[in-house]
Amino acid sequence: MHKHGKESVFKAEYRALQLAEQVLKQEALSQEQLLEGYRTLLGCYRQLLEHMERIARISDLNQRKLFNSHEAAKSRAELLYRAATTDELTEIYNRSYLIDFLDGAFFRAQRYQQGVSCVLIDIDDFKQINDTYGHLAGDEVLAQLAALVNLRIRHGDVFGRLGGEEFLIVLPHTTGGQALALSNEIRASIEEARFDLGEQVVGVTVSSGVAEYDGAQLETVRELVHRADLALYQAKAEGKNRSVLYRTEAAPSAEGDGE
Amino acid sequence: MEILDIPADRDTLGVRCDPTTGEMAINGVSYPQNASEFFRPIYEWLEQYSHTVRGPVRLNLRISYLNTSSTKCMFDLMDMLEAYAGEGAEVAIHWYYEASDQDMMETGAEFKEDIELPFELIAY
Repeated sequence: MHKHGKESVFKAEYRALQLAEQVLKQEALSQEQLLEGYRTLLGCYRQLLEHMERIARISDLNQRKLFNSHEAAKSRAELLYRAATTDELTEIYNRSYLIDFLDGAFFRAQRYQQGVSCVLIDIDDFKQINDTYGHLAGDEVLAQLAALVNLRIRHGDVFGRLGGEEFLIVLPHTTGGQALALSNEIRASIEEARFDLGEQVVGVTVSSGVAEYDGAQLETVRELVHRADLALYQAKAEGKNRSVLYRTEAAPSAEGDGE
Repeated sequence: MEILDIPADRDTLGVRCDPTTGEMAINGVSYPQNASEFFRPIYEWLEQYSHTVRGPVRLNLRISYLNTSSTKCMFDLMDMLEAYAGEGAEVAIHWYYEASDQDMMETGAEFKEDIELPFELIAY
């Protein structure tokens, strides 16, 4: 008997096998007994084979069903994840993903004594675009600008929309100076770009505030964003279309071209 | 004779066998730890019913997943019913499947082809 015979779903089949073995063990077997045993075993075998064929087919069907429902759940989860982390209008990361990512980047920077920088970007006089060309045109500018910046950021940086006309780039392992340089490249490329609004083609400029965490001086990620905010405020105050790096020791200094 | 009542679980079938009506209702999904152990009370109930009550049996199945061992057990249950029908009992099987569930429709069709009993496939 099979060692799992008691628990096996093939209990009846093992019993037939046992019976056949007993028949064989008998010393003096008449032709008649042998034929009878053979017929019984053949009957069991035929039934088992037929069942096994069907069981295999049913098993395949159920496996396919399981696989399909697993795939469906996976793609639903992917859709949900995408919806939860993406800004619908611009198709870049949304605020909630940005904040999560920045939290994580800041935590890693603190823990491993690495730098992390962030660049806060705000479109200059965006209200004017909305007022002049309408909100749909404003949306179009936001989407085109997001696509443009997305091409410029480096692999490993995370770029998203905080809300309104405000965007954020998180740059792990990056000093304030490097972030400022990238921020200026982006600012210049936006200044050069033309935004096609269907009936009009317009130009826009952006101001940005850059802040860095160098592994020492900051307690919370909130302070880092606040510094970027202060630098952005200064960029606006100094005439817009420029990038400003927040500096701890002295007052923040402007490094935009501003024309 | 008593009603057999096994509530459905996350991975096991819900079973309700009623000796007064002869209805055996089996619903849900089946991937139990040990299929033969799970099915044993169902076999035992049918065994007792077919010896003492000797009434008709209507097996109503509404199943959305069967693992391989459970499929074998289901064949064994139907074989028992086939044998019972061979003794002159009135036995019928109803296989209910969700209309959009092609796999369960085909699963039911496989059982139907194998078993020589009145067997209806019913979409819901």
